[in-house]
Amino acid sequence: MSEPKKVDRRKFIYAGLGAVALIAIGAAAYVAMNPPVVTKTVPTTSVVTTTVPTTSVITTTSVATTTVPATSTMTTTPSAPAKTLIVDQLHEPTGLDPQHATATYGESVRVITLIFEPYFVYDYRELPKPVLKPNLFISYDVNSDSTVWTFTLKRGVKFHDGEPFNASAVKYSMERAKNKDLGFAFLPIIQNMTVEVISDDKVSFKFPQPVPNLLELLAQPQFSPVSPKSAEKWGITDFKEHPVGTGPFKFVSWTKGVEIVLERFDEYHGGPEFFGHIGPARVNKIVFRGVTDNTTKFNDIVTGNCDMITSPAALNPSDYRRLPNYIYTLSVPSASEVYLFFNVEKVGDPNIRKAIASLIDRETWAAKLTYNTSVPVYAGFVATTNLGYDPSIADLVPKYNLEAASKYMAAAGYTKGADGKYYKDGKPLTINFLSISAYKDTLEAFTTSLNAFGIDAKLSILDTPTLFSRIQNGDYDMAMCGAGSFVTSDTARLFFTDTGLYNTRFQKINPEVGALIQKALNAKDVNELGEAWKTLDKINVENCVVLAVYTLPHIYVLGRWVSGFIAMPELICAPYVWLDVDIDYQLKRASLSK
Amino acid sequence: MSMLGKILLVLKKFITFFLTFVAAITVIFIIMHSIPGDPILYMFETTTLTKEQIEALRALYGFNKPLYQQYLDTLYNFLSFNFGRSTRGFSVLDLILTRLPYTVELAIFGLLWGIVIGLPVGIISAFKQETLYDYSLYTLTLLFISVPVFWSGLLLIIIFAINLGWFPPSHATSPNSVILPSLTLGLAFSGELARVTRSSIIDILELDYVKLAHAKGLPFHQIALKHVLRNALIPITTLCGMRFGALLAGVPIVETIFAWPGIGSLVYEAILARDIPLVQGCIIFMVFWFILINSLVDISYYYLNPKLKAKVLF
Amino acid sequence: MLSTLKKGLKIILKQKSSAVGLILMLFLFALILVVPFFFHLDPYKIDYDEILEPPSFKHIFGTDHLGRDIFARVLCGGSLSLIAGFISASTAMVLGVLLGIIAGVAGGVIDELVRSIANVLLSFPSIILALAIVAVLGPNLSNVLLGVSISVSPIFIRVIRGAVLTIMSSEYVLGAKALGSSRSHLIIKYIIPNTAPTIIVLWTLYIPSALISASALNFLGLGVQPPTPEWGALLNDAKNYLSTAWWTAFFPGLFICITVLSFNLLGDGLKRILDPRLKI
Repeated sequence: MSEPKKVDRRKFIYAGLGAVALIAIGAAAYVAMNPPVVTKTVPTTSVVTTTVPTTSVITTTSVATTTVPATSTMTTTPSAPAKTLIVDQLHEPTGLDPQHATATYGESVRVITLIFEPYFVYDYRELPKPVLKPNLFISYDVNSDSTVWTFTLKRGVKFHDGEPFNASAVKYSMERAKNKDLGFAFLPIIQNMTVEVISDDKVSFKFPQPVPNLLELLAQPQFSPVSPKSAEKWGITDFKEHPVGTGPFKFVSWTKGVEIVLERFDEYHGGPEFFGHIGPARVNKIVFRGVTDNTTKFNDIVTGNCDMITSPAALNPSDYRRLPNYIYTLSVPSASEVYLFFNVEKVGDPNIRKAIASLIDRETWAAKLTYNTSVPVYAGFVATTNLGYDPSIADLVPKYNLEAASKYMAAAGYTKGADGKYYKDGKPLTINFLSISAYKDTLEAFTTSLNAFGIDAKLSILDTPTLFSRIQNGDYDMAMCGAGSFVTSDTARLFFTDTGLYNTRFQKINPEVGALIQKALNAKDVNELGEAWKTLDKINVENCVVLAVYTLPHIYVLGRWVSGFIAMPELICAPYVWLDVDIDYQLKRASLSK
Repeated sequence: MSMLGKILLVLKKFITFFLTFVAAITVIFIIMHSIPGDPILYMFETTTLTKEQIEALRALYGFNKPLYQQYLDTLYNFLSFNFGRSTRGFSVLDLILTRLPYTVELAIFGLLWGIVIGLPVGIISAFKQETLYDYSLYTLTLLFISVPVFWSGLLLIIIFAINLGWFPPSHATSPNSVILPSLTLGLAFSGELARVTRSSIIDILELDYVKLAHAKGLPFHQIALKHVLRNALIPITTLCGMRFGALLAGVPIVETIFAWPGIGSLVYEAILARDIPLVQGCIIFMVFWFILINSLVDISYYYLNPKLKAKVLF
Repeated sequence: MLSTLKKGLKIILKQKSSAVGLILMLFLFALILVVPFFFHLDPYKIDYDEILEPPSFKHIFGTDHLGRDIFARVLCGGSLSLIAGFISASTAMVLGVLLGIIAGVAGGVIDELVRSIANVLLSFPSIILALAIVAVLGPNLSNVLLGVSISVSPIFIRVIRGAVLTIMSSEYVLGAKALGSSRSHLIIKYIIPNTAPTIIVLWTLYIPSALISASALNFLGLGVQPPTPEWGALLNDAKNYLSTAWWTAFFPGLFICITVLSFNLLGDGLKRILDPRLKI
């Protein structure tokens, strides 16, 4: 060890330690000056006024007015802190373009619903009955065979970028939706539609085939108008990250994996007449975060890190009620249901399907596993609130009955082996069962009871893209998923067409299915339409292809300090439910400090 | 070591680094293209797409080209920092760089926790060898190593975030959100660090010249500072460097538990979303830094201890 | 051989740490392998009225989200976790032995090739490689085992190759080579006996590592599917209930921790006996 070597090492080590110290200081400074995400939880200023707006903005006007005041009639004291509503939802949106294929995903729709709005909206007071009210279209006219529809537009509505909402904007939006690259959800219907601009506030849609339920369709979020100027600017690919619509909130930023920030649109027209809200929303900002984890969501709201949770999985209301400052929950009846469906090409014997169907214990699962937030449903693919639902179908649905199940297995040619499993020609009955984590409890329980019964059920919990992929490729025997739409043709398309996400391939085996769907497409009025769906569902249930299990719960958990929110089912586009939402920060502080 | 020698060493290391990087890209390429079935069907849900659209997608991602061509394209892209676009249309490099600062923050704090906890424990153990302190600390460090991160993370959340409410349980929303996740990582690392510290200090304490200094009657703390610690710091800093590289590469599990928006959770989300370009991009990115830091640590190790040049290290 | 074993056992038991490790391990094996059969524990039995119950006399570890007894699930899941750890570590060991010996004995280009492969595999942060493999091939237990084996094997390859090289350059082997011994003779007579201690120690030390990696993949949902119990999978279930049912997370993790600890204690002891110079 000669001296020079020691000196070198010492210097190096000092240098190294110095570097580490510098990094540490730098990191500390970086964090202090630049916290990764700053969200206002509880403001530290002492000037917190629980402001009730000095002018009441909820007026129940029964006279339909076509003009809207240009400035907001709502006042907020200038010194009041900005109100930011933080919402934890299940996932980040996949895109914010309502006309893009990604806009059928519930988590995307929730945010899209704030930036855009549809031409008609559902009245929340009538739920679960789907009652439509005018929003951007205030009146309509239709010819006798439902091929020509004429609409009158609401006046004084603007897009976030200042463009006026007028007939040419409507025409632009419809024409844009025809672009094949977007994957518009209702492309077959509008493909050959022509839009005629009659005047600035009158427009007509001409279809080559009758579309008797057009109003229903125009209430779907996918039909929201987009700003022609911005849509042109951003194009097909980038508009979903820079959306511009007419809704009560405008898009500010999207930090991937972190949050989406929306800001109040001060020139908002106020929403549908029946709701009676004039002017823009009350909160200044809304922040959406995608949080898959239940614990995180629970803790976020308990600590005030967020103000609202949507779709908490496996929610036990008593957990929330147990908290000293009880946070309230809203659940909402809806058309969404959880379905069990088969791949009839793989599970071809109806007896096997009926046997499995007889093992569905709806009552217990709804009561114990969803804590009574779901209601058992004995029906086929048509939701109980929708066109084509016939209450008598419940009689055809197999009930939970172990003996009946054994009989069906025997009819299918299976006998129980020594190990308690069913065998036919030496092979056990293996069912590959797919689903997603949202229904994990029910699925686990179902798989366990199938295994106990003697069927070799193999469960795979997958993420949504994988699930869709495998169903599409026919790589499944049975699946359990949720679906919800007020439009029956949507649900039928899901299960019984080659392009449907939950393709059961029933249409390949039974030609009546295809014929009935065609009949529905060509129906001249709603009665014909309803009859077609009724018949289809009967055939479906008799063959045990798609069975409803229970209603999909739509639950919102809100802090006590949030008021004015109206709970709507997830895929329903209703921007007005957010207009009256208000946050009382003083109450929030009081609620959180135990 | 002469100047030329140093340059040659660095050059050699750089070449090794480059070759290893290319080999890593190859391995990932092989893995990503071993998907059973059609990759387009794997990545996209194609029920709403027409045949032309599917073929267009195939061409966009280059899956219609022969395999070796795809390999060369991939290689060229990554080496020119073109990470491509994810299946949802976002630029992969953008996604990674947006989330990188979070992982860096986590890595730095994790390392600091590990040092703050592990170093003192190791030093005390070493100087109080064979006493009760040593045995109990030894068991403690073994415990830290044995605890799986996905358990300790959950426990820390239960104790400190839920029951005591001192820290937020997840997300990177407030400045002290980083405490719990970095503590999880730091605890796991501290066990290892303590053991290495202990053994390297003991190694040096056994050396003749230290015993000589002790015999000469030099005061204890002088021996400790002047001779022991400085020399023992070499393997310690080496370990820290390598672990820092590993932390920087992102720890998917800890980031997922704490919903920490770093590149570890990005990789996991990409895997769930079956987004091959994103998965490839993320892993290559992580591997790049991992190899780079390891190479740098290797170089510094050689530089510090030229005697080791001759040994067969691996 | 029996006397060597006895001697080894004595040394193990003499050291406090490895003695504790051995006893702990035997206790765990008894728990996991014997108790479920003896007491007819059923990890699948659902009880809708006992959902998420805290630990009590009836259910010593409490119940989970489907009312199943966590004690039963932890013990039954243990066998799956242990098997996963054993199999992946053993596969990695076999790979390491094969490639390490081939590389060390053959030398030259093959040696370089093997060394590069090991280096490349080591250039991946630990779990990423296994994650990628499982992601591509699909989530099930066999793919998890494959992924973990591949990600653990480079360490084996590296260490064993190093050991083989050292032996190959020792006087005995050089002498034997000079006398014209065949390669297989060299391998059987010199290499295997001399590397065996290293291999065993490495194997013991990497079983817990493999176990944790496999459990981690199950924790991420990429391995066994519900309702199969496995420690990592149990933690995956538990993470939804941290705020309301801490026992669902505490006990499975505790068992992983104790198992790994016992392996590490025992491994440390073994290391001292068999190959103290081993630096990993």
